[in-house]
Amino acid sequence: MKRVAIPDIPRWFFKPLPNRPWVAYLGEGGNKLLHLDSGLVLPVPGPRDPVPTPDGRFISVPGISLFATADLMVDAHRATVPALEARLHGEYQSPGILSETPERVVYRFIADDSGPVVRDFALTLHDDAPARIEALGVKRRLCRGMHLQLPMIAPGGRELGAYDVDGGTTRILRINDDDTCEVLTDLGIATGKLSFSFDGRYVAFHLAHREKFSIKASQVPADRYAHNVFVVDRETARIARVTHNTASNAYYPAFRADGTLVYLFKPYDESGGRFNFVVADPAQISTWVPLAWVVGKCRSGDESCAETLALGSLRAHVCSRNGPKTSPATAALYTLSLRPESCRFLVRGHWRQHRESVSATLRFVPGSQGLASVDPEALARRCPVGLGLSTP
Amino acid sequence: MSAHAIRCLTLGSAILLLAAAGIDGLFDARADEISPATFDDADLTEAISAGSATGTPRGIVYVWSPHMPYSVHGLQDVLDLGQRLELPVIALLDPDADWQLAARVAEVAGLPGHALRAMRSNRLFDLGVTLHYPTLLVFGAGRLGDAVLPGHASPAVGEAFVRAQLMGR
Repeated sequence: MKRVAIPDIPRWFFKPLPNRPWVAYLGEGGNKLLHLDSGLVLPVPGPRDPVPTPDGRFISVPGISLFATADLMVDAHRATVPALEARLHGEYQSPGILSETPERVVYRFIADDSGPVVRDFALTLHDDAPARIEALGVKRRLCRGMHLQLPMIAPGGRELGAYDVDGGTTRILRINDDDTCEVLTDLGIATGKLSFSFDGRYVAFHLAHREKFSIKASQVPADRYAHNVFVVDRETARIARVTHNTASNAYYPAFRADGTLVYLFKPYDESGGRFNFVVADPAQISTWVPLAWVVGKCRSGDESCAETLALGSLRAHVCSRNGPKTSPATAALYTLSLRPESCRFLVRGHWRQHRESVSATLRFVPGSQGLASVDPEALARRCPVGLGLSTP
Repeated sequence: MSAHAIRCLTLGSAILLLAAAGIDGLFDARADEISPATFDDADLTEAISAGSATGTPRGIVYVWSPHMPYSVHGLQDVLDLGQRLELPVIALLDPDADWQLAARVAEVAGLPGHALRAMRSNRLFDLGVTLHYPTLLVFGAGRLGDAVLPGHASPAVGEAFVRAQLMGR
């Protein structure tokens, strides 16, 4: 895990270059590139939303204008003229690559223009240098019949993630050849914008939750708003926590080509801390639970689900002073934050005192009927075997 | 440090306690002298019920952030929409926004002063209004609408959403 201070006040929107240690972001005065090793900052043309293509060849800005990344590195001040214009009106542009050969790359851009729109472009290469770009047809509307916001395309160009306004949840959709969309996965919760890993197996996003939090005995506990980063493994339908903030915030994780991701970290206000970009490796995470548990879908008779949620609820009872009000979903997220040794300490030291209240809190969860009679040692065996990545 | 805090320290909250104690090198020392006014659950309840009392029990909530440029540009569209539909607009600030940036952005964009109240309503938070900026929702008949609209929306899309919510969809 690596933490890099941002030398100014960033806007929340940023994207890492897929295959180099740079992050494109909007800071004071315009778009910029920040080198994650040296801290060097280079200017990037455009007023907002600098988004690299999945091959790292270009940085796009809304419109869509494409600036050659190599030109920006050589002489950013001269690279004010776009290398290519892709022409797609809308906000929140995101690029994918449909096909790639040494001579030709077919990009697919989507944007939000009163709903998702799409346009494909073919880039011709001569000696690996961009020669010309041509539109493959006109702008088309995507996912007709659906009310989607914040569409973000996968690097492969054939899937997107978006918030479904009517359902109130974030969904992963396949883009069919006729531009209709098919829901592949309903995450069952509302999330921040999705980012797809380059192999398509994982999606990352941030979630919001609040805690009764007090660090002084004399202080009246106040609700703190925290945002944390999560990763879902689409193959196993499991979710893991990447950050463990209880007051600070981690936003907008975005994958790089090597499977690592970059998120924006802002320490809570009273700390006076600086904004940071953090590089994390989800492959290091050892604690995953079924996504269904987090969205409150334990199966009847599945005691392991109820007991896992009980661990998080117990943590809330002991630590946050908000235990009886903690939802099963939040309890599941808390469980993902427990260190193995702390979890066992928590169960052995506090389960007997709080088990009636925890059981009452989770009384509507299938499989929770016998929770209050579970022996501490039996419950301790449900503790995580490892922790997600710790907040720097 | 209370026994309660010590127990929680063992559970991974050490970073927060260290920061509070000023021990770390984890955070730079910096204290803002000013902070924004806030808008909490009591304010929300009052706004909704006040609307009921005046015969206009409807309105729009719009949460924006100076860290999201589209949310700044979109606020004027929403204020215009409110005027056109004769609906009050409650504009609220991202609670995690850099306050000095917010004040500067609001001045440059000519945003109304009431837009600088920080969103501290748990009810709104639980509806997901901090997941993205802007986020728009509607209240009517003394209660909040059941849907939120995250992300920048064209005036037409915004108006369609507000009308649909007011019609109880």
